[in-house]
Amino acid sequence: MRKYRALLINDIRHAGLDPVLMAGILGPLALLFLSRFGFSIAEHWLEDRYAFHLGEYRGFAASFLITVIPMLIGMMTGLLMLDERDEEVIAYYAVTPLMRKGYMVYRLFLPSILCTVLSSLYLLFSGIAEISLESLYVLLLLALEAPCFALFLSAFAANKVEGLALSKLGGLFIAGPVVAYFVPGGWQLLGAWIPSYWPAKTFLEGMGDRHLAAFSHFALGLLIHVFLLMIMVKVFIKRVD
Amino acid sequence: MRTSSAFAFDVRFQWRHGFYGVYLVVCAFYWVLMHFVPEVHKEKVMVLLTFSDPSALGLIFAGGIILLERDQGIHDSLFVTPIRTREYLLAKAGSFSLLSLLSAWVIHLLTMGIPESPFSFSAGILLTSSFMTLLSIGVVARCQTINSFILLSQVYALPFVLPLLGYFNVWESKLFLLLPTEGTLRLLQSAYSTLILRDYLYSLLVLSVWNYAVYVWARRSYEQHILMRVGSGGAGR
Repeated sequence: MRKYRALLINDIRHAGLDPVLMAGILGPLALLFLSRFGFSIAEHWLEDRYAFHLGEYRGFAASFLITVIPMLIGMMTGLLMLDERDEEVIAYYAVTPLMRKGYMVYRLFLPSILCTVLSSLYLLFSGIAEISLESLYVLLLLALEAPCFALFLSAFAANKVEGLALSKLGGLFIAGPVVAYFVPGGWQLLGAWIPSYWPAKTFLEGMGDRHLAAFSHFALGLLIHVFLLMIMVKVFIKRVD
Repeated sequence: MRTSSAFAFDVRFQWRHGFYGVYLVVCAFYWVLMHFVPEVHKEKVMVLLTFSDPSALGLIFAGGIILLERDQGIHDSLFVTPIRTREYLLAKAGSFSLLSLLSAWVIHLLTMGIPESPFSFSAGILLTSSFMTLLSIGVVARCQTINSFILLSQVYALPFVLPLLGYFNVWESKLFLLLPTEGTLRLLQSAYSTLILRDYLYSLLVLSVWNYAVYVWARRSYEQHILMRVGSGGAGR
């Protein structure tokens, strides 16, 4: 553990200096506050002005916003890893006791832990999400999704410019919860290739008290996330070598 | 001549790094998305979409390219060649404007057909894209990492999205007329209704003035924060 401590202390120091690392924590917290206080204001305003009942979409809003958390943290970590690779910092870590493997373990576990903590806070305090046994499934899938996003950028981009281009594509993965909520019946299979579809669908099934459906979506989602992680870790290692 | 060579190089660079491919996918995504938008809201959503994406794509990408060039030490050797800062900046602004123009037209043709006033629609995209690209360059000169750049660019761009409040009837203010993006929104709306001459001239004027102002700022920032530090190790760090 000691070898990770130096890296963690360095990251915390950088979080103070680098406003975006701080934003990785503050961004999800801002989403939490927005849901807690902004949702009911928007609900009344839309009802008075346009007779639109936002309350009916409470579940969708919660599933949509909670999947933004791993996306935000993961993409930031991915860009940070690309920055470190472009500046050849990873090569330095490789010759320290941390070694390259340790660097990767640290870089992928940190967003995962951060995502679990912030998503739990969101589920507990946003006021628009319901807590159930299925929340644990959702948390696990979200925790796996943050390193998936980080690796999506760092494994497939040759440098930070390509990383930015890929982050544009990654942003489209926000369609996952949209498909999970709005697309009817068998057409939902179209969304199955989007990682964020699975935690959103598990969340929505859990909210609807469909326990078996929630568990099946969780199990399938887990397999897909682990499969994606394994592939991307391999690609990343190959690229660093 | 040097500007056109730099422009061609930038377009090739963007092509090689997958920008055109990514925008092809983005266009396809928006095309599918627009199918689900009710007919009554289509025009408003289309203006919002064109305003926030193809027109503003330079805001993030231009800065990313400059950070990479700095890491690779390209600025160390680039200005030993006859190329001038002005040509370098204009080539960046021009190349991103081309990508913006192409993607905005593709999205528009696929979903809404040919704009009613193609010239003013195109002018809106080109002038907004060059403005955002130059703004991005001014911001990135003050940043060291990609993440800090992304955050700071959003802070700088925030005031320029305020005219959207007026566009969606949330908050009206005459002060929005001073912002270039008020001109952008008027030019983009010309795709669906004829723009009166006064609005047309106002939009071109406000966008041109802001483009010039942000060009001067970007050039100064670039020279002070990047060129003056070239050779200090890590190419400008």
